[in-house]
Amino acid sequence: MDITLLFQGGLNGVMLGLNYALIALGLSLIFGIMGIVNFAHGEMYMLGGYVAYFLIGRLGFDFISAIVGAVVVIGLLGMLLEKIIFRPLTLRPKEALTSMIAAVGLAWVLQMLAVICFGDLDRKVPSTFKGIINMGGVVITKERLVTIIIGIALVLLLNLFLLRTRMGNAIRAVAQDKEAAALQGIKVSRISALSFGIGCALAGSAGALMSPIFSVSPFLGGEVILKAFLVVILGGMGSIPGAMLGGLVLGFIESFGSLFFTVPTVSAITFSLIILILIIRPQGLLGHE
Amino acid sequence: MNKKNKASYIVYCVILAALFAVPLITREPYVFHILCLIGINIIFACSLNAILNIGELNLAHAAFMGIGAYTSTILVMRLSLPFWLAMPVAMLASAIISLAIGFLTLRFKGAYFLLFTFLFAELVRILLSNFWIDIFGGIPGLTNIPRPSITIPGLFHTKFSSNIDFYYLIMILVILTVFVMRRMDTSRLGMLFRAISQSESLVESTGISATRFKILGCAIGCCFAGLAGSLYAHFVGIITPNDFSIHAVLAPVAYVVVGGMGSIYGPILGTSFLMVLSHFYLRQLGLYELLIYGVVIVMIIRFMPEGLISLPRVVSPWFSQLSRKE
Amino acid sequence: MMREKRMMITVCFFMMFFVLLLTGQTGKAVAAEKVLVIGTTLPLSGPAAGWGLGLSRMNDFFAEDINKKGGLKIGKDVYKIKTVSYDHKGSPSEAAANATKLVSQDKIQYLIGGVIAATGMAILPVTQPAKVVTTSLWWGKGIIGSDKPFSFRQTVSQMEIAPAMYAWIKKNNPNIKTMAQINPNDTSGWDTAAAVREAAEANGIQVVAQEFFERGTKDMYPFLTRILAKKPDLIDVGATTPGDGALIVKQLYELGYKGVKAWTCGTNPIEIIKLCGDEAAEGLLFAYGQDLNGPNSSPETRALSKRYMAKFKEPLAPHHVTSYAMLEIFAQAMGKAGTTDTTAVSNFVEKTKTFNTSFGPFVLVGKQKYGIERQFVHRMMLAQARGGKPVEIEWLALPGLGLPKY
Repeated sequence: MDITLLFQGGLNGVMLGLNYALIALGLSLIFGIMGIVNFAHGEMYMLGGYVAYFLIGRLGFDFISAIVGAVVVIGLLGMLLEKIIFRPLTLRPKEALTSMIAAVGLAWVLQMLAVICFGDLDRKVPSTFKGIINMGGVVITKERLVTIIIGIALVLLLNLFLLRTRMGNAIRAVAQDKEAAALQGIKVSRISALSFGIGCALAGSAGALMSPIFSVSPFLGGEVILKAFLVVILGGMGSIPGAMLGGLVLGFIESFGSLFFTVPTVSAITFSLIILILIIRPQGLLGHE
Repeated sequence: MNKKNKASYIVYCVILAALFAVPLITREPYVFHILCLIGINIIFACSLNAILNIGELNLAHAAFMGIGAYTSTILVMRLSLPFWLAMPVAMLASAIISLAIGFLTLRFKGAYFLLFTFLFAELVRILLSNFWIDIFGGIPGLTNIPRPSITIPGLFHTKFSSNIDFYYLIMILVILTVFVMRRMDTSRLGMLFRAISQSESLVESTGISATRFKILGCAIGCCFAGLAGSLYAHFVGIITPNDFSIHAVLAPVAYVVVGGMGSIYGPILGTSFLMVLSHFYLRQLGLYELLIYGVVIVMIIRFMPEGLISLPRVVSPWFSQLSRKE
Repeated sequence: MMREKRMMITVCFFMMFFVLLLTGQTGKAVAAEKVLVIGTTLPLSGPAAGWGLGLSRMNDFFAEDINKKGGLKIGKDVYKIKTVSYDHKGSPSEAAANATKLVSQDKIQYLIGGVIAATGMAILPVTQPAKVVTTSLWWGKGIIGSDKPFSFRQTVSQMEIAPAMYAWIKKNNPNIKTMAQINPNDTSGWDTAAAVREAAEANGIQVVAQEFFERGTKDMYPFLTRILAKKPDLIDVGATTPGDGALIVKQLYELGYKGVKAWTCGTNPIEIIKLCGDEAAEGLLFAYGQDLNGPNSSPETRALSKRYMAKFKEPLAPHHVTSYAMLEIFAQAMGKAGTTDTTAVSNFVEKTKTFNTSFGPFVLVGKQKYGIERQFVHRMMLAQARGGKPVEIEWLALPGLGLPKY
């Protein structure tokens, strides 16, 4: 096996892993804080991509502004949906299940709205960074490199927010122990709303970030949610570093696996490996408990 | 037997009679096609609900339906077993595999079990799609699955090729399933399951192994999922791995949640309502069907989180207000 | 009291359910004027909607055109055309239910347009006993057979395209020795891979790598890396959708692939070039490359393409037009046979064999391969992406299929 192949595999793994991690971050956050399995998470990613499509493609914004735009729009959308749909549900029994199915219904609605508004065909988002970097046979496009850098920056920003700001600390407190946090005077309902918004905003930003590389389509959501789920399982629910690690691990398994096996075999191996990991360590790599 | 029980027995008999009398009102094949699908989904939804009552959500329930479907199909088409033998074997297969998985996974608490079932369901789909293709048919699946047939010499012969005949078969099996579920619910086993769903540790403290009973409960539920699968395979005539995926299981879970979890009538109500809505009213809307369907589900869950079955409770304050005005 | 109230409510629900069930029928009362219902069930949502929507819209266009002219004259009567289209979302079970609805409630005799072979396998057991003619893009051997006399395929399948394509490729690129093929992991992908492999090997090209990617994959680098390591002279993306195909082609370009690229069963050249960019697409070969706005298309086709673009803001694709062609053929057959009866019309179509439609000549073939002539073949234009546009090169020679020389 050529050494350049292994390096290429590694580079592929970074890109794939970062993509997975960014998608899963929001899901993990929402699950950790509110216990809601947000099946509409994939649609938030999809809508973030469309925001980027409009801002970059139709209105001529630059890449960074488009991502900020996606964060704002999808974040607000998330907070709105939390207020009108999910918050009333958390006050009732069996809220995990009811909110999960409400999210499923929401996902269908958002998907079909996207088809009706934007058409069913894929749309291209113009890329800002053209050019390919070739390092002795190992290839990465400038676009992907910038995406990786921005993606890492986003994660760092998130960590900064969670660790250094009051709001962020409040969120972490609620994630650890709702009752204790309430006793400290933290308004749990306000934090939940904010977390939902941030979770959706993260998905939207991931969608916007990846849109020039992968195009946008109304049907992205279905696959995205499955992958996100997988990463959250692997990394541990409710754990931000877990989502990062889980994403990267999954990315590397798939990337290196694909160097040797065909895709279906890689899938089977991946799932079996993850099941094995879970049997040994059911809370995931970095999960609590 | 007091008046209350007698009244409920009469109601049940009336409902049963009405169900059996449907072919007298209409002979439309489409109506019976949908009724058969509703019946299959009711069996699935009720068994899913049974597992929910133990406190667990099984996202792999559709995978067990798939196991039942594939087992039944392979037994009938490859080993030439009659349907009447294949069906119970399929149910057994689902139950046994559920027991095996249960030992592995039910050690873990609620949310982790959910995630495990997700992994299991996807793994089953991947395996069925890409491996042992000569047996499972891969992604194209297995086709031309025959309908069952009965021959009682001298008396009676049917190949169930008409939807109406199949409807009777499904109706009988639905009634059987509901009966078994109801019995289980009201029995001591059912009480134990409810206790486990409320507080496992309390149950454990009385010396009963909650985990063992959870595994048993899931196996019973999956057994009926296998039944639903076998019926599905022989009714639709073609099964593919994607019919039993995560995305496919979300619709029946919606039926249960929208109908109302807990009692046996919730899933029946939810399944019937949503399927009739989707097939008879929304189907002609083309593109807008899924949109409106999603809106309906969100609306019902938002305003009646306990499901359609709680409609009387939601509506009765209005009624008592009205009666107070007079 | 509570118990009785709850019982009553249960009974009320039950009644309501039955009323809903029995009155939600769409069977219309017999109108004074004669109506021919053309039905179909297609994926109108989900990833395959790109195929389904276009086909469904063609039925609508045809109905509009005929009704504007006053209707279809069949025998002594003049029929207006009504179209019905149900979404099966890619599920065989839904497809079977929709087919039952079309047959028993809408009382269709003709089902025009179908995609996704698994749904076809679920629909045929419903339509065949009812003698409903189906024309479809259900690729797969199980769709056509002498036991299914009413099932027609309205366009060439990969089994006709692949041999022709690879004969052309070998003739024009004799240096190609090895190839890789990439297909989606679904039925059409599997069938196409088998057909392409057979065709390639028959032309002395060895398949060194074959990949089936999961629907929804966007980052193709992992498996493309492996494929490129085998250094294929040609890469064929077979039955991939325009969206996925564009991603593959673009990523191949980025990874430095300089060999020949083909999209044997690709159906929407303009789409794919738009999505992957001119540079990446350069040289990509298409079998469905007919320019619907170009000089090789009839005025009717060009008008249809313009009308579709104006109404839906999306380009019309050649495979969509085959539905319109089918409707022309069967309308013509009904008119000549003087009846809508499907047995008579099918026999007429089989006897006539060659038809001229707005899209060009269509010939009914298939006796050798399927045992019955139910496969329509039509002209296929080989095109290549050059400078960001699909450039027509020449009509693909489909030998032995009875197509007129052109």
